[in-house]
Amino acid sequence: MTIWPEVVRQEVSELHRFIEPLERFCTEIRADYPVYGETSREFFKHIGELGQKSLSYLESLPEQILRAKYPQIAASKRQKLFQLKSDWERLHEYIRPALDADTLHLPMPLISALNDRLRETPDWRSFRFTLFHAAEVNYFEVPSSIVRRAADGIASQIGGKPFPKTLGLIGIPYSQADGIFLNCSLAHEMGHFIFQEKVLALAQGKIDDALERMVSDIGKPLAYEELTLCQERIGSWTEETFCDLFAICLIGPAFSFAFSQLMTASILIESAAGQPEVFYLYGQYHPASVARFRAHQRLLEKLGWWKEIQGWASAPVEVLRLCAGAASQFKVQADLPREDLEARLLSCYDELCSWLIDFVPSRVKGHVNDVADFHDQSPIIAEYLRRAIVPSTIIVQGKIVHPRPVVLINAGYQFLLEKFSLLLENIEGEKPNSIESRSRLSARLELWLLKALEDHQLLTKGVSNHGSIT
Amino acid sequence: MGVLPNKEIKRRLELEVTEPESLVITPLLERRKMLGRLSDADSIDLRLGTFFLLPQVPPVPFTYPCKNSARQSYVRVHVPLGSYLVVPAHETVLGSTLEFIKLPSDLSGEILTKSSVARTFTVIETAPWIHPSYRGCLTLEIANASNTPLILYPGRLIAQLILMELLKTKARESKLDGTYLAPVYPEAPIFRDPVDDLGRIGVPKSQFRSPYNRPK
Repeated sequence: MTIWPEVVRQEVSELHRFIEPLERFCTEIRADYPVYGETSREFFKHIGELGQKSLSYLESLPEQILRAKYPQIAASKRQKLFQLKSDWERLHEYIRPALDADTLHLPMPLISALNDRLRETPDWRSFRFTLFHAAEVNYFEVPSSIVRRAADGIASQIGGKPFPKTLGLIGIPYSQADGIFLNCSLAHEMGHFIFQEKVLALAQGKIDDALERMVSDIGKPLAYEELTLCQERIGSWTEETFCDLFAICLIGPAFSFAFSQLMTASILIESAAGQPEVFYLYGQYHPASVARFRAHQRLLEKLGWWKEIQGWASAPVEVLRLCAGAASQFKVQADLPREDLEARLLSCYDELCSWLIDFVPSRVKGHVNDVADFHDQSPIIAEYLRRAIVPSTIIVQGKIVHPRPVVLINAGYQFLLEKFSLLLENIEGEKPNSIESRSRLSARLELWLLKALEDHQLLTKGVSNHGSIT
Repeated sequence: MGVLPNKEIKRRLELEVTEPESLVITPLLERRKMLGRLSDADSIDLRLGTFFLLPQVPPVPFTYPCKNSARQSYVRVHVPLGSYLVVPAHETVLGSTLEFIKLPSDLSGEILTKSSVARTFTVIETAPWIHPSYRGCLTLEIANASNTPLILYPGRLIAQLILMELLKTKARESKLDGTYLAPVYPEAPIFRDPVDDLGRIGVPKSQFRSPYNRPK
């Protein structure tokens, strides 16, 4: 008696057993709560459909294998089974974290505000994002190719639909649901998706031109490995810088402040020149943090934000000022085969950085009045926050104004960085030097700002946009 | 103490926040209708917010109002606009107004169930008084006193806010109270432990009976 049919059935049923709960998680989402944003529901719907089709496909697969006329065909079908398993294992990584990210566990008003801002640029109107919880204290965009390749790999085998092209996936630290300040980093992650889908071809041309100039300056051709290393480094650094500048165009200096907070960049203040070294190090994927802050400052100056913020007595602004003047002490983290390559590589990056500082604001629409509105409204918003009042409706020179999200976020950040003691002093019994008080009340401040963003949606756009992730 | 007429509410809403008499109600949707000629002359309508605290079956067969009770007793849910929450017959839920309000120091307020809502045997407040200088979304203790389940749609009008001017009191700014500071969602009650509360009025710890200790 041959054991072959049993082996095949067992293999297939193991995969069935693996996919079945994933399919169930995605298709059995309740209509009431937890509540998911529109894009999360779109993600679950797609994966759920892939799951259902995969299960049906597996039902008939053993017979297809066993009835194959030639052993090669049977082997090829088994090979597909392993590929299907591998693709589902890849998707497995994102399903539970996406299920955890319901509307109670995400800063929905901020996400809506960022999406609205993105849509002001006509070319990017169709892009939308679904968020999932990440265990890391970091924000990251899942390269579209990873999920899409896995989902489309499954779809091609079982006859399913391709993964939505304009749907991006972003990971957010699971503890940050009620936050607004650190979550400004989400804008950078949105930038990665935009870069990969809309900017890469153009940027690649610029990168190639800059590298060609670099090679011609050297005077003799680079070895293949050298050239590949330069292309990879410059490509990654350009993408990261694009995302930083994109985020600043989207939400102003708040992104730079969040980045500063995330990197604990305040350590640069009072440190010796070139210290700590890690801030001056160009990594495999990221340019040196100091170089990034320098680019932030240049863009903020170009957009007019710098003159608004340069006088703030706050660590992130001091970091920007410090980094703006940094010109040397940079290092590249790589075993560069030629001594002169480091300087040339950095000079090539600087050239691309200058291009990005002109290019990015020319592509992101809708930031024209940000600085002027911030200038007029931020002192008034601070008066509201000092009194623990949600600043979604403010009175400016006798007129009712609903501040726009960019103004709210940056005025809120300014209040946190510069004027927070005013709130502490205004509350009976709070100790201004108590860390517990500061931590508790800064969490409150973030709630008031999220509420103001939520109100803004209602006050300016009506109910249809409320609570939706897109 | 006199009830504030609509015209005075409108005047105070348009004052700059630095003015001690300023009143804030935000988001005030359908502003013209709310403050216009056809609105009530002596009150302003408020809407139901989108977050709720549902009472949980407690781990013990009673509710013990102590420091930890807020964490133990509720499940927070979000019901976006357009969706609804079902409150079963004779059950309760904590909600809040969609509007954030800030009262000046010379006004008190009272929040009442809108009469049409009250006729469905829905009670939204059991502690309706709002003290001067209060700020925050108002927490609503919603009870379905009827025999049938009740559907609640966030965003619908549910309450009436009546404002009253304090006699012989001039508005002035003062420091804020840190308890329930400017909540934007319904918040669970904050208690101290009963043994500490009673200790303040001289009840010795030895005399205090905890429901967790079985009588000897």
